[in-house]
Amino acid sequence: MDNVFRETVSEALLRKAVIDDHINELNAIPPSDESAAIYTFSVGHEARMHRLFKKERRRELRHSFLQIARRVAVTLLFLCTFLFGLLMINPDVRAAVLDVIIERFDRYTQYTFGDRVVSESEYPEDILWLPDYVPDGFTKGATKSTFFMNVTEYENEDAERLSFDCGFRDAMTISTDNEYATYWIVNENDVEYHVYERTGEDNKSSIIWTRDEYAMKVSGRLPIEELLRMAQSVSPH
Amino acid sequence: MLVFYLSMLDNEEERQTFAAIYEEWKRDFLHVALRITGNQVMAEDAVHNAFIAVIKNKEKLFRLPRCKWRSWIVIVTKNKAIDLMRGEQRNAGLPKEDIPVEAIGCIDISELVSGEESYRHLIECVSKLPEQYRIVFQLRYVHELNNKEIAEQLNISPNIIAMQLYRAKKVLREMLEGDGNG
Repeated sequence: MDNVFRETVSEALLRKAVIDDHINELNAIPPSDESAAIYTFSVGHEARMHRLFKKERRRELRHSFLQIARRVAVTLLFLCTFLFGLLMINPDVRAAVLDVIIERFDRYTQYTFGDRVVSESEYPEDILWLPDYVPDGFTKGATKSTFFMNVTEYENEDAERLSFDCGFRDAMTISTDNEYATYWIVNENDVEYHVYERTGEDNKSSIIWTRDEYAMKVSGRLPIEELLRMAQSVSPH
Repeated sequence: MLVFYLSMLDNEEERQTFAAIYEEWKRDFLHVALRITGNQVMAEDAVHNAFIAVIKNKEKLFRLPRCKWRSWIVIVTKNKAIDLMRGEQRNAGLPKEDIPVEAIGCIDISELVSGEESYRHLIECVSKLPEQYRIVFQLRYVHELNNKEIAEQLNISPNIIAMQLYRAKKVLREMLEGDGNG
């Protein structure tokens, strides 16, 4: 209690002393008529101060404008979001938006060689196209067939897979991942091979081409040279 | 649009306020700056920098009663003058020993001040303190700022403010004891 009392008294004394000292300090400044005779400012300083007050006004105008612009932008953003939300409640609008998204996605990841409906009688002779060259270690697995496409898989001991798709061109759409791939074209024996070489370890490379009435694709995680050799070796069996 | 024009009007008033403050007290500010720098060019720079600082934090100024505006700007000017001097004489002035914040305690001067004469002596000792300590005291006791507010004003950390207050009181006590008041 004694310590608290002494601390309080000490602080009060110090406060009063500092205030009195500051009053003395301000009173020691010469009055304006005296200081006008003693002190002058350089022309450069006065110009600088004048510019400072002008700059402050421009800064304030800019600040006010930015504040208002910010409020307007936030209001517009809110309105647009609200209106978009209202529109999306409408099922027709929602369906139209989804169609656009899907169409764009499809445009950049799919080859559509033809999408007409064909009858079985129009199919070419039942010829099985297969690669003559298979990379070392890979063995051919089963071939799965739909009525217009065959898919043949090859596998090695490490369960690494290669895939060879072959189908009737006029009825076929082939997809590939072009987002994580570098694309170029190889021309060999009048055949244009569209090469998608993977850029990530987890992705597959693909090569797509057409021969006669058929569209073909080979894909896997091997070096692109191996896949290209495999693609160029495809022949009817 | 009306709101925009009104905001412009407020700023025009503020601009005129600052211009009027400057014209009324500019020689006072130059006087205190010259006392510290001893150099006209540096003193003018200190006045200019002080006004920049005051305008940037004009809300602080306008929160004070008008009778305290001169005092506030004088203290800011002194601080800017010291900053300029520090730029000229690096690391000069205040002692650099580090005191852990936990060790900062209360310095009692009440036992050294017992009458009117010793009180006048206390004021004299305050006036002889290094200017940086005096500024911190004035911001604390004249303008009643806490450590955080003083730190923001002087652009240093609150811990350093606590240390400077402690050291200032210690120096003050030593001055009082040294003159035989202890």
